Amino acid sequence: MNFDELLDAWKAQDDKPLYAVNHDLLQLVLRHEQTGIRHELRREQWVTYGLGAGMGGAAALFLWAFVYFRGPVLYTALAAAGTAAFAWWMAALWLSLQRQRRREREFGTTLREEVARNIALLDYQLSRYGRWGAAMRWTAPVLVGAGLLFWLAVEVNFDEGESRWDNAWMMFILVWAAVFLPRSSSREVQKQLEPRRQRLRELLEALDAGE
Amino acid sequence: MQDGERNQIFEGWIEAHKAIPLKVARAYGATHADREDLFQEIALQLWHSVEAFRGDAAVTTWIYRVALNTAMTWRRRERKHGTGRHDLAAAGGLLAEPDVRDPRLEWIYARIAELDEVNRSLALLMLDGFSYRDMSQILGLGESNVGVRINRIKAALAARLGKEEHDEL
Repeated sequence: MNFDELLDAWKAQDDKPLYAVNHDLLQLVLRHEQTGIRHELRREQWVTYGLGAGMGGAAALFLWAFVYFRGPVLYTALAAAGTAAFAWWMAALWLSLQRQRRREREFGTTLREEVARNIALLDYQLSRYGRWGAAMRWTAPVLVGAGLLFWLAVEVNFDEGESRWDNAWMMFILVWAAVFLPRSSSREVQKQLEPRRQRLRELLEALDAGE
Repeated sequence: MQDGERNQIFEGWIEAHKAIPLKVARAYGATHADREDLFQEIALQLWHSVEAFRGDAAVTTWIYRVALNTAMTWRRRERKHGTGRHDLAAAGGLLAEPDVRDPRLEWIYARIAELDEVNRSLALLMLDGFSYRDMSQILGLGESNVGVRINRIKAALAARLGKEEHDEL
């Protein structure tokens, strides 16, 4: 066996591929992928903008009511803070996604650039969820807004004879969520993404070796 | 781009150039299940890439680029703990094994499997006759780096061939 014979055997694969592909199953996989993408996009859009707009709208309604009916200054200020917290969350998320898309577009199409693009994407995901502080930064505005909204709702509907402690459980849940959710998501995301980022960095080093 | 148009282009690519993802899957997958899994992942990434293809490079270069990128960043473990989008392939049957195997091809793939990930890509491109310039553009390496690596791969292949011919005698 010599090198030319090897090359002949290699080239014969183009006319007679190694395996027969089951096209029906491949089509099924693709349809599954398309459905998954649409579902994921719809879910993300709904969660981000639906939840933000809904709760921001509720906070804005409180604000409008306090301004219109000349409510206490403290309540008005808190309603304004709640509205601002939701608006800030949505704007920050939108800006952050735009910035990340611009950053990803700057990479080329070579394998090295693709690997670098993947690392940039992982860096972005880890910066949002992977660190405790970052997770707090992204979760805190929503929780602060929700907390203020709930507290205002309790205050507005407060009857004499009721105890404010009756509603303390809800505030406790909000505080618990503010601490537990970012902490658990931070751990989970790091566990999933950090090994992948490490592997991609090693791959990038292997590509750069000998340059 | 509409899904229908994308699907049509993708099917054309697979029909005409399926040998490329199959070679890459064979070179990077250790077992048949791995190869099926990797072939499916490459096919999905190719389908995603249809929109990004501007025709600046030849279709074969593009397919190789996507396939190698997928193979080098792919790990079977990810599928198991991933989003579950690949469940369909878990049942198997995407690739039918050949009835007769060419021992020369088995030998080449065994040698390719001994190389590291980057050199494995270069070996595939070299065997398919890509120029140093094309390899450099596909992998994002300098041409001199490609040249040095290819020379080493060729020397290692020649040494193994020589040794096996000697052993046969």
